[in-house]
Amino acid sequence: MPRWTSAAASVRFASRARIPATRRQHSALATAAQAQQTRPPPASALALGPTPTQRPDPYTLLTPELNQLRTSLLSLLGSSHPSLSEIAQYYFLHPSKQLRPLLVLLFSRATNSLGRDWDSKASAACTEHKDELDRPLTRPDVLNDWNPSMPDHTASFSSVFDLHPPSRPKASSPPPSSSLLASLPPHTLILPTQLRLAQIVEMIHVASLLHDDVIDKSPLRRGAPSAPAAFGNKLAVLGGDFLLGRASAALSRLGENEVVELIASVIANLVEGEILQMRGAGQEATGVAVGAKSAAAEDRWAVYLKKTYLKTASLMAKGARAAVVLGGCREGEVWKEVAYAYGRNLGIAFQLVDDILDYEASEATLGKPGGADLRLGLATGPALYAYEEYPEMGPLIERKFEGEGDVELALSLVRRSSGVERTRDLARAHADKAREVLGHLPESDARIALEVLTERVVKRTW
Amino acid sequence: MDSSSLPILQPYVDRLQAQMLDDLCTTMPHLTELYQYYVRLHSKRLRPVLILLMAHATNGLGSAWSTKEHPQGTDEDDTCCIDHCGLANVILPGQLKLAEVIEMIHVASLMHDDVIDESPLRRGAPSAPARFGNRESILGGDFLLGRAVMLSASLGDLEVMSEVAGVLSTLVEGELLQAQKGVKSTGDVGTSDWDAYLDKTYMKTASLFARALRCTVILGGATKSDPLREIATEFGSQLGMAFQIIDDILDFTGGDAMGKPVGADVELGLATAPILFALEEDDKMQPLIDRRFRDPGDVQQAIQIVKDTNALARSRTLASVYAQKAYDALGSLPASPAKTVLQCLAMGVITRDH
Repeated sequence: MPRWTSAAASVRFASRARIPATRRQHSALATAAQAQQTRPPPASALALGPTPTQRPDPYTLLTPELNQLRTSLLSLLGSSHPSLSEIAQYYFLHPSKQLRPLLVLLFSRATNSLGRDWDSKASAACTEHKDELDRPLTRPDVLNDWNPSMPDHTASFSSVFDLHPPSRPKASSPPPSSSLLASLPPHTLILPTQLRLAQIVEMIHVASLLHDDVIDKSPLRRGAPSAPAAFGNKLAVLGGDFLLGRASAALSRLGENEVVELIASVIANLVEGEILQMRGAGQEATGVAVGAKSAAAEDRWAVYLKKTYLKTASLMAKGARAAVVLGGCREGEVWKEVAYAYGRNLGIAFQLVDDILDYEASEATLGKPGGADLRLGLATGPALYAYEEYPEMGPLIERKFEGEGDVELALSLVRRSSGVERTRDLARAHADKAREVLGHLPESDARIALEVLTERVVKRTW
Repeated sequence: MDSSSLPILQPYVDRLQAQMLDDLCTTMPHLTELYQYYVRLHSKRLRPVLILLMAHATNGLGSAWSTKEHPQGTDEDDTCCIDHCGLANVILPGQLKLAEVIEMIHVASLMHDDVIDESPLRRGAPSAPARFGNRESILGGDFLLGRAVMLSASLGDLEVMSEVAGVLSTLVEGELLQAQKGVKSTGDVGTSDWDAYLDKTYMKTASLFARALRCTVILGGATKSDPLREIATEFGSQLGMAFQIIDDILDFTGGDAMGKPVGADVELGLATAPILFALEEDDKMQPLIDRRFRDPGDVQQAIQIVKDTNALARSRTLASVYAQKAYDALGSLPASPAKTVLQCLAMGVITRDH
């Protein structure tokens, strides 16, 4: 479900004050982002406060880091180019759950100090200059040599990626200076590289949302303000490219080959997932002839799960794994695998629940009529399960619910079937698997938070 | 102005083509077709050729060359040894891979450009958006970018990896600069229009050349203290500027040879060198520039003004100034067939017709 476009039109945001599209837009955004920080993060339906058993809430545990991330991303979008400030506005009005960066940060906390190379990573973080990660490896004046007025190393990099240690809530100790970092208990430390990775992961996620929004049929409307749901192709493309470009540059500066390969491969994964979803499970997409009904059904499931992994789980899995690598985990150590397995299973569970919610949630909570996926021609978990119980779903799926009354018929068939329930069971199974794999990690706040996350992902209603 | 200028390059260019197609293969035929689409179009492969030529001209000169020539653990067969006309130089596998990476990024940018510009044609064939639609073209470009960044990681050099990523972000910055130009500037309008044009040209074209060639010599063992890096950077920047300006001239004169209609840039509202030179002689151009040639008849009028003034000749002169700088940049390199070809390329940029 293209959350970006549908949620933007939702009732939920109707009451928010519209940010006027003026020239001082980015400063208005910065002010608004500031105000945002004093309220609890609105989109975090996953943050329900401390549980009765006093388990740490995953979002609350990392509120300062997440807020800092949101602000820096907004500021990056809002201040680099006027054309991009519109996108920043959009991102602000539709705040992301920041689940992907959260996973990166939680896994960092849960595994830092476990890897063989942790000590060298930690001391590197203490001794290196704060903005080392921003400095290009070659002499800046070489890059500027021919054109002093337009340096290759654009100034907008350094201010935006300036990573101050996040300010902690008053109850805890004062912000750690670099000399104190080494003396802190290891598990409270998140390395600057890991913070940066969290930013990168979010940037790639937002870039993919923007590119998914590119419209095929309608021509670019030159000069005309676009409908709230779309920027027009040019901005969507440029905005996404901008984020990808910055993300790649930041990625390369992390100084870790394996991480570059991991995260860059996600870009390819996201593309393939999106195209798989667009083209459906037919022969054209898979290149495999669709045979008997059961073979066809199996094909569809396989494609659906593959799409789910590529589009949703891969970034979570590889992001978490990359975080652990940055923490000094070496080849052969189990922590990387734990991170990957957790991220993969959680991602699949997350998407399955997303697909359920599209059938379940009523107009009041989601702000749009149910069946958005159906209207887009998508047959997700509940529909595929329903097909097993009601063969008449077959032709509907085949023609992507394009016929008159198809959507309504499909909706009713799904609701009559046990499709939703069975999808939820599958989601639970994946969430359980994710929780199980955490058992390999030593106990910590972060580990408990990760466990809590596996429950929240399945229980959420938004 | 292609690999036929130095015949020993042809096997490399062929290998590059094959390698690229291979690296863009997937299990889904439709996707493979999408990713490979522009790679299969006939192309001069200018950027890879420049990389290979620079490698040829400079391998062996860098202080750290010996560590690169025989890195630990590689097969003798892997290093493509040539011994032609007394040349004992090799082209390193990493340099060939770099050429592939750079070309992939270039192709990806073309795919995105064609969506943004709504171009129906690319080299006389249907453009990617015309063939596959906008969304798939964007996604296809993203796929190529992702693959390119991944491949750059396997080069095993952090600095090169950072440069490659820099190519990407600078390209986008250039594109954004071009998109936002059209904001009316106060004061001396002429200067800021030129600044914007030259900046945009540097970021969209010259920077890629500069970084690619710098990476080439880095991979060949040029350390920070070797002058090779500056030489490569300088040559790339100046050549890139010359190349783009000629491209902009050809937009007015090229016609069918370009594979797209005359005045395509003007249609997009872009004020390139010929337009800006024409403005200096005829201020009727100003309102046209200000409204980005949007009114009916604007494009034709702009093209006519350009042709009626000395704009094209002056643009060509400007390009040749950059080309000369490129030529001079290589002066201190020892003589070699590759150096000669590079210098010929620099001067040849001026006279090309496609």
